Amino acid sequence: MKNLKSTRLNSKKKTVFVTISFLSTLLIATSCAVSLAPRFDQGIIDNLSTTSIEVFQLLSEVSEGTTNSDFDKREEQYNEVIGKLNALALQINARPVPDNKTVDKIISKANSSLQKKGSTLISVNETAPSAKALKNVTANVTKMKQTDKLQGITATEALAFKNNIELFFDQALTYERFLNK
Amino acid sequence: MTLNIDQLIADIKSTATVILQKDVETVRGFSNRQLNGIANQTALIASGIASGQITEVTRDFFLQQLVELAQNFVNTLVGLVIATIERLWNAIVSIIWNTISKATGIALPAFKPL
Repeated sequence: MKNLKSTRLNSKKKTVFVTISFLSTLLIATSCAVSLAPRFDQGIIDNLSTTSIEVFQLLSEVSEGTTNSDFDKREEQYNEVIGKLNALALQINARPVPDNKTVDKIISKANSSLQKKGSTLISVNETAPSAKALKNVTANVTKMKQTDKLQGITATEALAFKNNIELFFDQALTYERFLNK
Repeated sequence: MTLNIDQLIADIKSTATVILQKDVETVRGFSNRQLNGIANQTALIASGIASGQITEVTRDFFLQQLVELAQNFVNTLVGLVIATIERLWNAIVSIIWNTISKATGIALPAFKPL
């Protein structure tokens, strides 16, 4: 009876030992920490925050609507803001998005079924969502400038631009902050 | 050499729970803000077009922007989930690494998340 018990115990110890040896070899061999998301960058967050303040200042000035007769007074401000947004976009795009085959596979599978439904595609493995968000902020400011120059903007249009910009900045900032491990 | 499986499981569980709780909270808050914001914006655009306060010049732009908002909201959510998975994976591997290192007495190469 005692012999049987000790044999079983030895067999269990052996299994654990073999498992651990295997795991150790695997871990040493593969060094299996992963990088799936872009690296956290405090500089990007600081620039996003600073730039957003300037954009909201501009939005505040036009919030009651404008006439194009005094567009000249605002033109420089528009150009400054757009310039800063473009510089920020460059900064975000300069940071690499990690290339991971498993993530790519999952996303391309999701996209092929989305495509069949005529839906929009996921691109997060190619472009950071914060970069896309920023691109849209720039598009809104640019459209606002064009409309202001052409015919002035109504208060409702100004509000609609502001809401878009707020939502896109929220996407960019939330994502970038989230990358902080 | 001993390896306490129960302790290992408990450590993995508690680390995973901490990461998930914190991340889920952030994601939940973000989703609520975005969904409310997109819904309100849709209502604003609709009434603005109807009243003419959103003019011909900007109408198509704003309609397209609603699509862009929704699309990038999804992209951002997916991005947040990917970041959470990375955190979980690296934390769990780190625990296993340390446990094995202690149990075997082998000095494993230092764990470096990439």
